[in-house]
Amino acid sequence: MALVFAVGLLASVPAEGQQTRAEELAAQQAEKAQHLTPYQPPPVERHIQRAERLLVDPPPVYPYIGSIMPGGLLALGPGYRQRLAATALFDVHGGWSLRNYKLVETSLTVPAVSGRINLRGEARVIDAPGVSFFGLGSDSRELDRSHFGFRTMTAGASVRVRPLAVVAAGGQLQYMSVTTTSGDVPEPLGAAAPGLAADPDYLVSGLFAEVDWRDAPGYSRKGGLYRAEWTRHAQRGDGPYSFDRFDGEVSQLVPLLRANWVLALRGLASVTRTDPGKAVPFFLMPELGGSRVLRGYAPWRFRDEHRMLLSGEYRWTAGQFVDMALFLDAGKVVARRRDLDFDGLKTSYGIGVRFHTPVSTPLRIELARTGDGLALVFGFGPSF
Amino acid sequence: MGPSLLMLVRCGLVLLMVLLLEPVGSGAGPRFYEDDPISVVPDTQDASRIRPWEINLAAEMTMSLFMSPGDPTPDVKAMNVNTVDEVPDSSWFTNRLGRRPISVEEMRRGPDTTTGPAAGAWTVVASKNNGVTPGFTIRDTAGQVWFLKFEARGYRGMATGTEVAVTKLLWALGYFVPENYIASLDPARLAIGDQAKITTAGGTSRPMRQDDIQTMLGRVDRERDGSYRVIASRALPKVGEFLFHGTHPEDPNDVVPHEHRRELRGYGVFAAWLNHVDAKGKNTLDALISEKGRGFVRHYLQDFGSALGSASVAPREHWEGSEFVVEPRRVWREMLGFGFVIPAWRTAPFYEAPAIGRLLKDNSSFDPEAWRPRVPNAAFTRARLDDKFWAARRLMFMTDDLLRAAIDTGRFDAPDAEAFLVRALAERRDAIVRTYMTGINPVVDPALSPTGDLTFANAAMDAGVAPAPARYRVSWAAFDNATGAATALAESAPGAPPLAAPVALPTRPGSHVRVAISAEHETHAAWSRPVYAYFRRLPTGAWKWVGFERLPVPEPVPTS
Repeated sequence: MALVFAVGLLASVPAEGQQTRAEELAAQQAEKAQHLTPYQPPPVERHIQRAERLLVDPPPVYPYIGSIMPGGLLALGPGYRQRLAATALFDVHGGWSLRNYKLVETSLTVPAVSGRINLRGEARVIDAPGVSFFGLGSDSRELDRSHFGFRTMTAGASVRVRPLAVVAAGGQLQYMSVTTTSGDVPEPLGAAAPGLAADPDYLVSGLFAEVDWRDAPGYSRKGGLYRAEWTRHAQRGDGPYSFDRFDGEVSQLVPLLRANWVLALRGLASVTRTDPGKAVPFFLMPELGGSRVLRGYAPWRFRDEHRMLLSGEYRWTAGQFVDMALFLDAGKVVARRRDLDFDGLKTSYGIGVRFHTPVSTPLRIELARTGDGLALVFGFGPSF
Repeated sequence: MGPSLLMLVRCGLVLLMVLLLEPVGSGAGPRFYEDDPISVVPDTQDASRIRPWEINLAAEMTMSLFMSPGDPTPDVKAMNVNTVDEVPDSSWFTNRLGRRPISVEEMRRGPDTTTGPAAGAWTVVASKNNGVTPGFTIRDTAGQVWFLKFEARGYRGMATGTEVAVTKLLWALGYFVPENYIASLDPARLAIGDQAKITTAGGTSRPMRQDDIQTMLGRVDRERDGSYRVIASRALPKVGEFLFHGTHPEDPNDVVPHEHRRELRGYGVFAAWLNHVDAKGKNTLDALISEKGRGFVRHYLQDFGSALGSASVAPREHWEGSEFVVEPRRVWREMLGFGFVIPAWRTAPFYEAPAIGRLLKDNSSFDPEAWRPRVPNAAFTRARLDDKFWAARRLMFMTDDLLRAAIDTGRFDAPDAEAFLVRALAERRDAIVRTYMTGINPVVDPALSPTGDLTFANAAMDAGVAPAPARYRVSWAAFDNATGAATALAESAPGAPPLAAPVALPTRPGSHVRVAISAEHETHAAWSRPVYAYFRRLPTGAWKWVGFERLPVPEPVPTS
């Protein structure tokens, strides 16, 4: 390469032995003809080629990196996936987290009708020996943090149908077996936590419908998501922990000045319903806290039978792949539905940076001020 | 020390050697040969053994964004210009506009040698696996292979019209471009060839099926009669693509680093003019041309669907043309600005129409220096004022009639949008000419009569972008063609051309003189930097113009 470069550099300076410019240029070409070499990609290109091969034709065995459930921190483990019949995907992976949470999960995803219908069968075992519990209600205290053991085995299937580009609906049917242990939950808190140390088995069924006209669920600067979901947890053997849960979410992104600013608003409500004599087990109650709902509070910080959350963000774009945001979350969990009002809301606010692609948000870092103090939040997806 | 670093050191040593040798001309031979200035650089070596090679797009973008590939030496003069600072014809470039008049009919025809794919059944022979525009490859009844690309749904005319119009304009400017035609595809005439394969989303390759065609056609714009408007690009004997830096290690005729080729540096000016933000190596093509029993590589520019207001599958984003896709310093500034560091493109008015996409509405104040492709281009970033002057001077000859003819070939079928495009291109052309003609000494076409009368033109004045300077200053020197030494003779009285030599000039055939020409202009201080023109006395007594330097290296000031 240096030789080639030198030859080029000398193009304007006559060399000895030639009588004309044409002869001189021909001599340079003849000289290079003696030293032709195949193209050798530089190291960075070789690395990129390797990465591309992994993306385009991923090996069946892969490292699983992810989160088992909120509060479990990062989990690592082996994975295996196999494409079947060109479009279907079989996957099985396991993970072990920094908090000693364990996961084994397998799934078969079958898209059909050009991706408009998505069928998924899955089975999962989660063992989380130290899930945080602070007591029920919005008045629970951070210093009351305790931990319980939570283990589930789930198997079932779901379908998602997308008749229009922005409209989707679907349902699920699963068998779920839950085992809990008291851990270090103190007696007063445990007594008020329905289902602690219970081992219910459920038949879980559910339906959802949504209109989503954001650019992409993983990243968008405009559009909205309007979603409603109903889930029925029917305990086998007519146990005391059967319940229905309804979730509604509305989020709207308002771009201003060609998306120099984006006002992002979200309202989220979850309510549960039980028949007389039944109760919602505390470990399946709607919750607040973590990296998406009432950011900055610890995961599972607030639990109760109902919840509401309002979020607002002022986002500004700082580049094609970087957004910033000032955010404010306010929400509460309550035992009675009629208490879902604007009194006594818990709030968190702060500033964040998001690194994104046109369709995803691989990393979100937020500094949040909450009633419990200052917290640094890492998220691996959009806030909403 | 890694191989890259070693190479850098070796390049630096070679450069140092050249710089040290050049001023003294130590036995390197004459500065000007008998055949200077050459007008053609032929490819003398057989390149037929070159192996197919394709640029890795991700690697090209990564290196362009973060590694500044190519020669790190700043302010290097273009290396493929002849001795009068012009680009000779070669396998890279053919002098057209500016060298000779281009008629409206020629502009409409451009590089085309046919009327497009032959009528009758077309056979699909391959799917299209790169780029964002849906498409595939067909063979027509004449056996000719064509690449077909479609319109994005709802944007009839945008991608195909832009591609064709820009093809014509770049052809007129001198570049090799493929033959691109707007054609109509009738799905009923389409058959799938036995060898046609498609790569699925999962990365596996399988024979193409009818439903693959239907799926693709379902995503693109359809005409009312059920046909599809397509761009048909005539297949070339492709052996690869070229990067905008370095040389091809297997092409013996490729001896000038691409970042130091003037036509590639000047392409940056044309890309700014055309808002061709996707001017990258991946959008080029090297074709192996066989002639007289040997092969040489011809270098094409292609894929112009992301130019003007089009981004091929959607209108151009507002920011494109104003920023690189990654600009860390800008990101920091805007992160800390809480949304109140607002770039101009956020508030600038844009013209938008489905047929042409989205383009800045007012181009009269277009600043070509502020224009940016999506990712930095090694040749564009190394362009000096003399390279940009060269490009702007070609644009001077791009008349409104030629613009109208080129845009008309795009068949946008939207009169208002077409008129806007013509106006926008004219305004951007004028802005470019205004910027680069006045930013450097614009003396051109010097001539010396046998009796010593010097004439020359002023390109900025000819373009109507600057009034005449107050006066010109001309210094004469005898020039030793063997050693490169100049011996001052005298200065002409300041004035306007023709300017007579104040002393008798050498009469011996083969003797050379160097004339330094500068101008005093009240608003264009850059004109005071002299250009050097070199003349050789011919046996007939006439002076032949043999050399020109628009940005000569300033001579050291003698110290006492």
